[in-house]
Amino acid sequence: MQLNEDQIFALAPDEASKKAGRDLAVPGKWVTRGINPQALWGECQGSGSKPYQTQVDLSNVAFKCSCPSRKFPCKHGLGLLLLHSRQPSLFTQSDMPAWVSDWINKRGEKVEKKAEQAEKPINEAAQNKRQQAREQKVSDGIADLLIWIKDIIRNGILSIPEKNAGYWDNMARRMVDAQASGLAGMVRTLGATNFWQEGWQTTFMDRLLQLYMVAQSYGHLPDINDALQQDIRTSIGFTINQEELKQQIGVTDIWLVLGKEAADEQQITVERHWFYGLKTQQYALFLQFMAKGQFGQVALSPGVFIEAELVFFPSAIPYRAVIKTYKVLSQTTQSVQPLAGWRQVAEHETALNSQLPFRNEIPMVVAGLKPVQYQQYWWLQDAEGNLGRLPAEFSNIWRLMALGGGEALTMAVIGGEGEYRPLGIWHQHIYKII
Amino acid sequence: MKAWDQIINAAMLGTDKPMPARGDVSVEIVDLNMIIDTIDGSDKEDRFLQKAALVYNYRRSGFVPVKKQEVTLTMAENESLPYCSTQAVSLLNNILEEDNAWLFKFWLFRCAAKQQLLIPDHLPVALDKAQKDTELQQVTITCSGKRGEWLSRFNPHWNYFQSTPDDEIWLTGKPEERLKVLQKTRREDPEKALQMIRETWDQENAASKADLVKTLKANLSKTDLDWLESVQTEKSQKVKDELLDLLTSIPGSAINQKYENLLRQSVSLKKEKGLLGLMSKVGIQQKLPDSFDESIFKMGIEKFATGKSTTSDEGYIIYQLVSLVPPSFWEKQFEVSPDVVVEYFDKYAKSLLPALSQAVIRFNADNWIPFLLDQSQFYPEFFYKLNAEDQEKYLLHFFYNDSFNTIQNALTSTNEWGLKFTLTAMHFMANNPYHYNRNFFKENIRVINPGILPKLESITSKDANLQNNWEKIRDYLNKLLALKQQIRQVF
Repeated sequence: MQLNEDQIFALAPDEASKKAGRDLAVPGKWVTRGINPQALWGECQGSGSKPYQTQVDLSNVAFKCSCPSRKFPCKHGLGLLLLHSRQPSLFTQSDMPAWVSDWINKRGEKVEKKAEQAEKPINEAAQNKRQQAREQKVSDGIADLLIWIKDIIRNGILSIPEKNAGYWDNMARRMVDAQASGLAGMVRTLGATNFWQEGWQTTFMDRLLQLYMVAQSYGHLPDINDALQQDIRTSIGFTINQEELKQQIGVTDIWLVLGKEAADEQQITVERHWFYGLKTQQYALFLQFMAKGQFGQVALSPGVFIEAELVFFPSAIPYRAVIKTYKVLSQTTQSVQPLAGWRQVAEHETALNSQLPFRNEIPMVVAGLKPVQYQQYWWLQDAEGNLGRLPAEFSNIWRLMALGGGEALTMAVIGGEGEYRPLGIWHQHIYKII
Repeated sequence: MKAWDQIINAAMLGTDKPMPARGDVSVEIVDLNMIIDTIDGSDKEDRFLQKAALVYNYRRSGFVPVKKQEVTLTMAENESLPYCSTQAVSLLNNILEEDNAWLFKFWLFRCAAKQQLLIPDHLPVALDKAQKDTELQQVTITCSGKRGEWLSRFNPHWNYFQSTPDDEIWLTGKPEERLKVLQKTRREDPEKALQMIRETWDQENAASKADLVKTLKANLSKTDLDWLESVQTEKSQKVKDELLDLLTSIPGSAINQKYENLLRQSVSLKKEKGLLGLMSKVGIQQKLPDSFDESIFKMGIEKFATGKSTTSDEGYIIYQLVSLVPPSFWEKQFEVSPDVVVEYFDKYAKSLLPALSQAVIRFNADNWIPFLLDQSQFYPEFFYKLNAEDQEKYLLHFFYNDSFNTIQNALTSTNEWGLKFTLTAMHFMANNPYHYNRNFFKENIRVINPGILPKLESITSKDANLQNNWEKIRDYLNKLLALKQQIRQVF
């Protein structure tokens, strides 16, 4: 595996770590350095008498370091990867020392243990009973929720911005009591609408209607196809055991990491990775949830190719996925097969929406787009002259322009209803995030 | 979308208020709306929510792109110069990460000197920085190539790529822009600059007149004399002061001749025969004539010494006169060479030596500088005119008695410090880490010589309590110096 500098920096938990990692990417800081196909390791002389032992699992990009830092990866891990990226000749091919091989072996054992745990028998009768009780609770909760939604609609949304936090919080808690955590989250998101922003009414109504559709459809589950039922149940908060999911056969492909974004949601950091399958042309969303001080199990940078088996959550449009196995590829000969332009994008959106009316935004790779100015706004124009609007808050227009120089580019975009923001572009055959 | 606007309007008021009539609903969904209205058992809120959900999905299900083939984007021309190397790119990333303005500027200047270009990825950040720092603009234009010039056309903040001709700026620009044009012209073509001022003089206000006159200080010569003397009738005191300053700085001006005449009568070399006539005794006599033209007191000479001064009024008048006549006056007056003049002043009129130094500065008498370097006062103007080797000697001459101020003066140098002075200063700084902190090095990395890198680790603080702090600063300095050195290596 060979990550470039941008990809390594994309792994950094914050700006300070990037900076500190860069300072450590000098040979003089490392007492020992080594590499083999499984791992990269080194001993970094810190302020203490004993050097820190830093190691990177190269097959799954995992880090371990003996330093006391709570950041992940720590500056030593980043520094070691950076140094290897800049001066690979400094790392001699050798057998792993004991402190590295112990860790690598333990990681293997962990995977085996998890598999063993999954094999333990389950009391199905008790599980069914619990499930029925929960469904009753959810039904009761949804009945209350629908009354609440109707109250909002009856009184009009004009005075909604004046509601205090308790108004939203009470209903969110009611949904938590009803074991419908998904609906609780949707209620909180509804209350978090930016009422100071022009056009808040549309944002608010979009969210309210999504909530209404999910809540209303729960009473009609038997009339709905199995895949869509799963979407509704997932939206309500019925979780799917990821370990069980991983037991299923997934989609194996070479996946390009199109983008990575993190957002704080209710004291939890949600990290989104968007993947694009080069052979299947399928898109996937991989989520990691991290409480403060914790770190994700997978660290991937945009632009990286992984050969991976992804198992998709059951859905009318399989999109969210878990990673069953993966390894990072240094390069690939597979190329992307983009959509031709905005008309194809619109048709694709229509098809997706007809299958799942309350879906998340899904990225798309589109060819031949170039930014143009029209009526004082920036748009992306396709080869036919069709325009897709760039969001007004899109701040990287100048980077996009500078890289393109007026040439049409293949881009990964995400959005909807004719407004899309680029996640990344192919510039001189290299995928770069925007 | 009309249907959605209707939904929002209805939602704002609530279902308690009258809903839009069927005829007001968009034609695309009117049939489905009718079906919703016929659902049994649903209340008006349900019906509204279902209609709204329908329009929401209609809205979300694709879109009709705006087709505008006539909207086009020009292509950037191909570059004729090469992009900088990958090492230079990586180094620039490090510099940007470090957020060091001077290293960024240094990188750009080296890149421009090697006729290489910034890669497109770096253009937005470079163009933004140059927008805020006008000193960077020209070099950024050079390093941005054709892609940068093309890019700048789309962002009004980057309009510095489209330069306005100097003549136009002079006639229509802002005061600070006009001043820059005048300064530049004065450096390149002094007579043209004078002509520019003459042409617009009557239209200028007092404040700008003073600023414009000040620019004539560069390359001042006798050719400026006639005009300067002709505008002495200006009413503004500020302008008068500036004119007087210039006139006193031109040898041969009427005012200067007045000073010289009075000084000729007031300060003379006195030689007396010594014992048995074998040795001659030399002295400098300072005495104003009993009567003289008192108009000099309206021409830049103060009549009385300040209250706290230990100098007599007479001595003070002579001091001012010495500082306002060309040093070459003394070569004629004493009939000796400059080095001997300085020697006589040093021996027999030491209090006038600073005045002589000021005259050397005022009249750019650079040949006198070497003889005046041993004084106890630091003259920045002398310092700037010395070569790097002599600058280092000059600094070391003052360092041991007044380290703080010497470093402060050394920071004004346009050159990088010599290795010896850098090492000496660094040992001092190691013992004053609260004064010479990270920010100090960030601001002044320009003058620090990277040649000390191999010795930097051995520079320690004598006070163990300061050592920890100094080590952190030293690591930071090490990083900055390494970046500086790498810039020289990659270009």
